[in-house]
Amino acid sequence: MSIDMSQFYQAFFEETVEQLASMESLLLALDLDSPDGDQLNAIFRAAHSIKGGSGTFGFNDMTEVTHILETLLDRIRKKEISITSEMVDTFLTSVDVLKEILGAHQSGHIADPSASIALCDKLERLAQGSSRIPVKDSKDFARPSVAQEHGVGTPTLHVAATINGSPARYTYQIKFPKTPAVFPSKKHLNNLLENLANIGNISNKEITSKAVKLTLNANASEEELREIFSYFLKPKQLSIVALDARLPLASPEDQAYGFFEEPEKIRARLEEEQGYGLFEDPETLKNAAENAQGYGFFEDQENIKAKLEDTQGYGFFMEPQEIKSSVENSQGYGFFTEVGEKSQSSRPFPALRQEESPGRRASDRVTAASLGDSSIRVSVGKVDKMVNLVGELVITQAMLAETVSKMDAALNESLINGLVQLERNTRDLQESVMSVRMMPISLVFSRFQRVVRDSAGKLNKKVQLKIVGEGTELDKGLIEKVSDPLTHLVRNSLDHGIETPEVRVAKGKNPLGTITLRAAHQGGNIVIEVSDDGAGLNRERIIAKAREKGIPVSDSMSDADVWQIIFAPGFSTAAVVTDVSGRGVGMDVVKKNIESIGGRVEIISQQDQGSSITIRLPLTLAILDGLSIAVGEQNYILPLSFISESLQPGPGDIKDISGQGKVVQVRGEYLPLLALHKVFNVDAKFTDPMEGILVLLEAEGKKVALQVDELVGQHQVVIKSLETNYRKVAGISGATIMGDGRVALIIDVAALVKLSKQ
Amino acid sequence: MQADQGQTAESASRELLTFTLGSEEYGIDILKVQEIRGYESVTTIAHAPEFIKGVINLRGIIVPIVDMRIKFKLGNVGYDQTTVVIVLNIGSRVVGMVVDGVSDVIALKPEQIKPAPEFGASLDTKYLLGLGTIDERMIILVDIERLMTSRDMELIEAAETAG
Repeated sequence: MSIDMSQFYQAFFEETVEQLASMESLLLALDLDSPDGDQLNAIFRAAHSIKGGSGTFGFNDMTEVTHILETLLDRIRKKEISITSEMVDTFLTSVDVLKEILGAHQSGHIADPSASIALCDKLERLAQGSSRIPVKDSKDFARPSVAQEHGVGTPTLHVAATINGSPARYTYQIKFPKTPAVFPSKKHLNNLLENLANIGNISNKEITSKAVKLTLNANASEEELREIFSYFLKPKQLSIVALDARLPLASPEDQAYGFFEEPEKIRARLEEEQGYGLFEDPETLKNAAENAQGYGFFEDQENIKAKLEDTQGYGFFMEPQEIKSSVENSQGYGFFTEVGEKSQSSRPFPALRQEESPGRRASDRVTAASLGDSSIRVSVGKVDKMVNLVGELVITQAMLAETVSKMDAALNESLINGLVQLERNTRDLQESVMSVRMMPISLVFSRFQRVVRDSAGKLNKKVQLKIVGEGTELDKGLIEKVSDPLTHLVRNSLDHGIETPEVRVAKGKNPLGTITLRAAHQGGNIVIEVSDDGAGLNRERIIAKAREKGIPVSDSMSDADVWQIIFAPGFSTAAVVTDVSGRGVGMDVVKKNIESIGGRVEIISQQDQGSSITIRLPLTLAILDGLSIAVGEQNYILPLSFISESLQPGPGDIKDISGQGKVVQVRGEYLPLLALHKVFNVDAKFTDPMEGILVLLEAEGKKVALQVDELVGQHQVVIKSLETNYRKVAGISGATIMGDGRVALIIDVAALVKLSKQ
Repeated sequence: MQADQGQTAESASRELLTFTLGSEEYGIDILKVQEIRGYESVTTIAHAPEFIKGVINLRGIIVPIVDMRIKFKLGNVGYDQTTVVIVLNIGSRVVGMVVDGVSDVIALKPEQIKPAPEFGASLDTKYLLGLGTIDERMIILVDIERLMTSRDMELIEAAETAG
């Protein structure tokens, strides 16, 4: 039975990207002085899952790296060695290398092995350097066990020998009985011998009807050998004599991985049901559990037994079809995931492990199913379609409501009540569907720990990153688009903002600089702020640089205007172009990107106090809170977020400025007056501003008064692109469908304000 | 006529939707036609050329409406219940086109199609596929996709340079 694995690749890639991301954030959050056991375990599990998955899919390069990584992590989490910052750095590098390899596999290439080889060496050095258990070379156990896991589905049984080209180190004289109780059939013995052949060379094999004697040349430790045998034998039945003085000491934490499955068995199990029947005798199980007792490792034996019986229950009565699907399932996702947790419990009595294996797949399936209950992967396309459909529903509902509003309320009471109910349901549905697209901003924020850590190191600065409000949710599309600009802003803060520790001390500041990332909901917007307590923007330098670049400036410009200069294309005040930033391709792109998703960028800066850059974004790109206004026959939508107020001007409020158009005085402030009918060249009901209504709009720090005929009402509108079937229209950001089925255009306030300046 | 057309239609023949604009009869590839509907009031777009009437809501899709009568300067342009809009599928876009009337669906064999001479039609020759003759009628075959995506129609942002 061959299983087409390619269909699971995507799931593996996605999982692994997530695992790597969580590893990275956990590593960054790790407190070196008193590492949290849970965190270490989580890091270990992530590494382990990646190893398992990559092994299943035959991505050997990943498996090798993760194996060594995992071994080291395992020892750390068991407090055998203590974690150092060098290790964390190396682990972070491993995450990078793994990402690279993964990326290569995803695009169907093979990654350059040099990086991973260098990394493996480094990891091994670390493992050796801080090992309290000497002698042991991680390579020795790493390679053979890796090979075994790779064996899944591949016919190569002697991978070990090919991977590990170095000659065997140890020679063992092994003796064990060959009774029917131990080896019910010849197959079992062959199995065992094959196992041994996998890790070394068997010589002087003597098989009698009572006992087997052989000499084995292998790299494996005695403990590892015993592990193999413990599938079959009780420890006291086995006699292993090391003929080599350099016999390694046992390293208890390593074996679990090597013995997980051996290829022959997996195939046997996949191919024939017979494999399942081998250990069905509950007696065997109990015996095995009792064996385990002999080790005295476990207090709660009852528990283990129960667990075994549990899994057995799943495993032995499955339909072949189900088995197949569970195998597929578990291969796709959690094939190895449980080993990490189980290794502790199952290692001391590997006899049980075999019992467990068929069942475990089933239990994996159960785990997968229960995971599936809490979250599912859905393509963004499907969600978008749903969002669109709900948008249509909202429009239809609004149309119905409008029709009904013209009817006699007394005569159609039940219809009206039904519609009210429908409105409520539609709104709830819309909110739920929109929330599907919402993701916490921590997805973006979390990566900055790494950016700050790495860049600060390169720049010889001491910087801490504070994150506030990472749970704030926004549309997935926005998250992706906001990530690059934010990276840029953080790097800018690091490079230009935060001073070196010496300078900071000289200024009387804490040598440790702080960059704060803050996200919060504010009205219909999400506000993301990148602030630092660094040097702040240098007014003189910006002005000087602007002159140099030929940007018109004057010394009397307000601070806010001066800060705006840094958004000019090609502008950089950095004295030196560094690795981190300063090439001057930054802020204008940041601004452009943010504006393209309907956001705004604001800067506040104070010399030597630091600067803060605020990004304001709409919550979602799909729905907008708007005020519909009428000019003549046409309805337009003004995004509510830009409206500060609306008013009817009194006599004398409107002043003509010759050649400049009109201004309106609002509480002592003169604002340019823009008549919408003139801007859009439509016939208005009122041309005199005194008759119409003025809506005060604010965008990019500028205010204008927009003259319209009347305010129609406030709506939540579904934004539709005009560009799908038409083209971009100046002053219009999109379109929507109103309750009466007609199209209303959404006004691009920022563009309108810009228009008023001309 | 439909019937004998069906009999004579061969695999090589083109099926066309014909419509009238002024005194001329035009034919376009029927596969580009999504539907034919009556004219309904549009939402005008500021600064759009006169022949782009505006946009309508076609079952949730915002569709621009082009009045070919204005584009071809055919004078008496009025909108009533009989005004017809041909909704076209051009590539991935949907565009509505107002014409004087929709007349027929015909099939033309290659030998019935002659290359278009340089002539004074309201349409530039580069958008023409040829002239078809059927029962003494002359039908101007329009490459509607090329026309609608051209810069002349101003429907698309970066329209390919016509020609």
